[in-house]
Parts: sequence; C-alpha cells; structure tokens
Amino acid sequence: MDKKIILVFAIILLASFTTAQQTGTSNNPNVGSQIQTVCCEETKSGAFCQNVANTECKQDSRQVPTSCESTSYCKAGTCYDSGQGTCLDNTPQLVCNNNNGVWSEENPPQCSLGCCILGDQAAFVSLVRCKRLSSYLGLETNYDNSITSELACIEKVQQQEVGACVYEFEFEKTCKFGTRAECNTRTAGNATLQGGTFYANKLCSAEELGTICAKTRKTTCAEGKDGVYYVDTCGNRANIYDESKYDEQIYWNNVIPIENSCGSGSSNALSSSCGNCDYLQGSICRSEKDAGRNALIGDYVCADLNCKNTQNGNNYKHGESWCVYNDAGNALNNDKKINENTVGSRFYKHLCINGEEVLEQCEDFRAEECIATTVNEFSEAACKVNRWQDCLNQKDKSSCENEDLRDCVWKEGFYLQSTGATNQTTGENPKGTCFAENKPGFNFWSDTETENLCSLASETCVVKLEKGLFNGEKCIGNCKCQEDGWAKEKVDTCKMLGDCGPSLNWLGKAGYNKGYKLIVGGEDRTG
Amino acid sequence: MKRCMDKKGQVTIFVILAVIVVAVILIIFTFPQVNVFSSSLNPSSYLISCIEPEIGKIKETLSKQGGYINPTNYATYQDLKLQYLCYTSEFYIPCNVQQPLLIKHVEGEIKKYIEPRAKKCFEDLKKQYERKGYEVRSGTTSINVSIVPDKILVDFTAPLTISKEDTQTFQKFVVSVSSNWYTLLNTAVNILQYEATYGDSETSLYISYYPDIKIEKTRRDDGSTIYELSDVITQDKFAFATRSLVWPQGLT
Repeated sequence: MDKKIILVFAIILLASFTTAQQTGTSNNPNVGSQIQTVCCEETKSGAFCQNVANTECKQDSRQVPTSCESTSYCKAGTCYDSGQGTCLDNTPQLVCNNNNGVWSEENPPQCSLGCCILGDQAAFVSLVRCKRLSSYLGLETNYDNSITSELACIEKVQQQEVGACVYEFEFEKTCKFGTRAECNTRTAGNATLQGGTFYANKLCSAEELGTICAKTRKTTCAEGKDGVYYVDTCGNRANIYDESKYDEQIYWNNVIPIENSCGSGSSNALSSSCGNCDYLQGSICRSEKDAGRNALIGDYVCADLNCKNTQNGNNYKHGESWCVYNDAGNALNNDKKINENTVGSRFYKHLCINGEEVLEQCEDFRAEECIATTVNEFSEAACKVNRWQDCLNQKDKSSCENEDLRDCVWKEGFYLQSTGATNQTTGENPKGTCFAENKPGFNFWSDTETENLCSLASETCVVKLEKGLFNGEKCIGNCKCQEDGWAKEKVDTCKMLGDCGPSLNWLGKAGYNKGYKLIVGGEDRTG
Repeated sequence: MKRCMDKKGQVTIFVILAVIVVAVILIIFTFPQVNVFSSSLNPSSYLISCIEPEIGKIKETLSKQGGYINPTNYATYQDLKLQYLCYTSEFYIPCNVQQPLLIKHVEGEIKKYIEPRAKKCFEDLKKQYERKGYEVRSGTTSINVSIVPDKILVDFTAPLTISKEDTQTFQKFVVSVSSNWYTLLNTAVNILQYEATYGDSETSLYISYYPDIKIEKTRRDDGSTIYELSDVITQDKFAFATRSLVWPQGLT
C-alpha cells in the first residue's frame, strides 16, 4: 500500500519594511471610503468647488450629493478677465463670478487668439489683451486675427522693415529707430505725432540724415533681442556692439544684419569686444556686473548662461534638461543603468537655467518616470506618468509591451500563482508574467493596500511524496518546490511587483525585516 | 586768568555745537520723512516717501504667499503659507482654478493694505502744514493700484489746498515702484492654464520666451506643487502652490 505524504510549501511574501498597519487612508481621505461625497461650494480649508466628504464642507456652504460637474454653481468653464483680456479654462462658475470675471461654458469669442504686433515685437494674444499691451507701450493696436499660430505671428514680425524715422521736434531734426508702422504713429511725451519720414535700413546716427543723433560709446540691451547694441545720443539702438567697428562711420550709417556682425554663429559669451550674443547657444546681453566680465566699450557683455560640470559631470546648454535617477541600484550595478527601483528612489528632471542647475522632482513613489531625448545635440527631458497599473492583467508579451498603452515588461519564466491561469489541457503554468518596467513604490508603512498587492506573489506548493515499502520516501509531484532555488525564484518574483519582498532603500541600505516567510509543513523555515 | 576764561568759553561753544549736531542727526534718523533741509514741505515727495516703503512691505508678503495677505487654502512650505491658486482634493484629475483674475486680485490686496496707511500719511501731512501755520482744506481720498509692465502704480487721489501767503492746490499723487510683477503674474496665470488643462506645466517652455525669468518647481509628497518665479535681473519674486493631477501610491 502506497502512502502519500503531502507537504505544503508556502511562501508568504510581505513588504520588507512593513511595520505599522493603520486603518487610515492615503492623501485623500474620501478615496476608498464609504463617506458620502458631495459637491461642496467651499471646504473647511477654503478650497472652492471640491468633491469632498460632507464633513469637510464649511458650515453654511452649499453642498449637493453629486459631482460638481453636475451642479450649476460649480460647473467648470472658461473665465474671461475683461480687464487683462485673458482666459482661464477649468474655472468653476462660482469662483469666476465671485472675482468679477465673465464665465461661460464654452470658450467665448473674446478668447480667440491672433497676432498682436507691438513695434518690433509680437504677442499671440486676444484682441483685448493686444489693446491693453499696445496702450502700455504707447502704440496703436495692430492686430491680425487671420494668423492662427504663434510661429506665424513671430515670422510676421521678423519680416517687418526697420529703419530711421526722421521728424521735427521742438525745432530740431531728430530721429527714432523702429518699424515703418511705428514711424507713422509716434509719441512724444503724452502727445501722438503723425508723419515722420522713414528711411529703411538706416540708423539714426547716419550722417546723411542730418539729425541731431550721433554715435556714442554707450551700449545697451534691447527688449526682445539677444545681443548688446551700441546706442546713439538720442537713445536709439544702433548696430551690434563690435569694438573694432566703433571708428568706422559706415557701421553707424546702415543696419547690419546679425548674421553679418562680429562672431556670428557662436555665442560670444563673455567676449569683451563683441556683443553678438545668441540665446539659443547660451548667451544673452547682461550688465558687466551680472555677467562678471568687463566690456572694452560700454557696460554690457554677452553673459554665459550654460551650465558647466553639472551633477553628472556633463556640460549643458541653457534651457537643456536631462534625467537623473537616484536609485541605489544604479551604483550597485556599476552605473550600467540597470534600474533596481530601490525603495524611496525617485526620478528627477534637471534643467540648466541661467548657468544654474535646477532640479524638478517627478511624482514620488515612481508614479512618474523621467524620459529624455536629444535632438540636434539639445537634450530635453520630461516627467511622464508611470502606467504600471494593468501590467499584471496582460497575458502575452505583445499586449504587455504595448508602449501606447502601458509601461510594462514581459518576464519569461516568472509566474504568479494568484494571477496566472494554468492551462486546463496541459496543466502547464504560463510561460511568463507582465511586470511594471519601473516598479511602483508603495506606502507600505501606513496602509493595508501594500500587503494586498504584495501578497499576489504568495504561493502554495503541494509536494507529493511516495513512501517506499522498505526505505525512505520518493518525490512524485511538484518536486521543484523542494529545491533551494525555488524560494529565491519566488522572492525575485515578489520584488518585481513593487516595494515588496526583501529590498534595499535608495541609499543602498537593507530593510529591517526579511520581507517574506517560508513555511514548510506549518513550520517557519525563513531562517 | 583771562586766557583761562577764554578757553572755558571755547569749550562751552564746542559742547553746544556738538549737542546741536547730535540733535539734528537724531531728528534725521527718527523722522526720515521730515525734510529738515527744506523750509517748505513738499506734499508729493512727503507722501511718496511715506507710502513707498509700505508698498515694499506688502510686496514682500504677497510674493511669498501666492498673492494673498491671509492665505486660506494653502500649502505649507519652508514655514511659508502658499495659497493654492489651482486646486483639486481628488486624484487623477486636473485642478480647478481658484483665482482666475490674479492681477486684479493682487492689485486689490495691495490696495487693502496701502489705503489705511496712505490715509494716515495724508493726515500726518495735513497736521504738519497746520503746525506751520497753513490753512489746510482737503477732500475725500481714494486709492487705485495698478500693476503694469515694469512697475506698480499707486494713484492716490487726495484733494488738498494749502494757504498761507499764497495758495497751492494738489489733486493726485502718484507713487511708482519699479517691479516686474506684471510679467511674473502673467507667467503664473499661464502656468495655471496649463495646470488646469493638462494637470502639469512644462517649465522649459518659458525659458525660450522669457530669458530673464527663472521658474523653480518643487513637488511635495502631498501632491502639491510649489512654484517660485523670479526675475534674475530685478530679483522680483512670486511664489504660489497648485495641486493638480495627483497620482496616488498603489492602486487606490
């Protein structure tokens, strides 16, 4: 008679750091609870139009047991500021009206954008905003609503002719440098004067114009321009500051394009003799004090905005951004960019702004990951949502690694007893499992959800042993569970779920607990 | 004997002069708005010197608190209370704008703070004229604050007529403080638009358009984002908070 002995191998895997268990909830106390949610006009904390628990609502504040979107007073729409001519979407009606804005459900016609020409500058704004900006600058409103993109608007203003506008003022022949349109309407003090004579591509200091404006040894930074410019005695900007051209009268007569000016094509950062700064290359006009360098003529130079020797040892241009991940796993793998997703590790986006390295955190708990790309040697990074939530539901590699829908990776040879369906005909386990590419972090120290998620990796293995007639016993079923590697394999599977199982924190320190339990025949053999 | 008396007299004169000099210095430092070097008081410069420091004070407060004197719904960051200008208490959804007319609101907060102080300055001015023997007549005062490119303007309408030998009439006093708040507040409004529409903002975009503006963005564990906007040239600052498109830890 055969005697079968059944041994139960069970591995119970828990979050490695789980210590305290509370019945509390996460950030939003209403999520996952049974408390009645209402649309509250004003909460106790002073927030307007929030879907919160009725207990959170301020006394005497309106509250309806429905979503704010379904109410008349908290419905979100567009709020129009008739004073500034600006529009803001997703504004509750009540908030807009309380602040004397004009609320509408759909985008009102006043919010449609067009090209506003402001001298040699442009802004892609609404008509009212254009009027307001023009009045601040003392210019006539020049608005074109047929232009429907910001790029086209910028192109339009760049095509404008600039030159000297010569006119008589207080019995003197004077001049103002600007566009042809500006020349037609000029302001002197509070008065608006008509009818200057426009000389395209001429500078006010041109001798042939015979004005009172002459060259000076002064320089300036011009609004909306990158470079350092010479200034004439009337305060007009002349050509790009070039120390070697100061004595050449022709340089004070005609407008010289930037591409034909000194040091064209390079940033000219910290050059004391050339002010042809290029913002895209990381230089812009600044005072000598701000730039930390003196000019040979005038008080302005091209400041260096680029970042040298950043945290990762690389140099970056002004405006460039890149990813940094503070994962201890990186260091442990000799910086081979193998993300261990250690507990507490987080993605960061670093930026180079005005010569300073600035960091922006991506969402904590690896709810966001950082992605970067380099186009024309210019690096750009962004934090993006980590879409790991439905990875475990995917049953094949192609749907698992569909980058349009999720951020998962297919792991061959890994199997979760709790989620994987065993083939009914063959009795075989699935060949692999779909896990998050960047494992999510859990709030394992204070919620109960972590335990539920991590317990997906718990597995019970029933080993069948056949007792021999005269000696010992022989394994006849699930024998692999008795092997040393089985428990390790299961622990590794557990770790792939997130902050589960034995793990290191982002500083490389191991947790206080084992993170799992190995129970054989009712006996704890975790060790 | 006579030489000894002469010396004593000289010492007395020096002591008196020293006391006068010290008294003048004390008056200058104690009452900076009193123009001791001018026989006639200039109402315009008096009011400007009285109101201008108050604008500086309120600007400092508002810049650290999201444009609110008394923040109500705020995030606490480095012991500061930063008003949420866009907020949602929920997960997964973009925030609702909480202050759609930011510039107008900030103008209102400055007015609220400045108005009583400007009135006090005006009353002090009238008292000073009356003490000097002037006949003073005044009308109802009002104040208007506007934030425009490169400055904050405070128009203080305070009809004032002072008469002694001749009569002088004043109607309006304008205090102008250099500030790039107009650009900073408009940038903040633009960030709010992104936060309310997409749930986040891309700070790199602003670097191309506003070379002088630095934006620092800090994410807190409670889902709030702290924005610190500053002008690298003028050193003007404006900080506020948002809470938008928050992702929970785990699946809930």
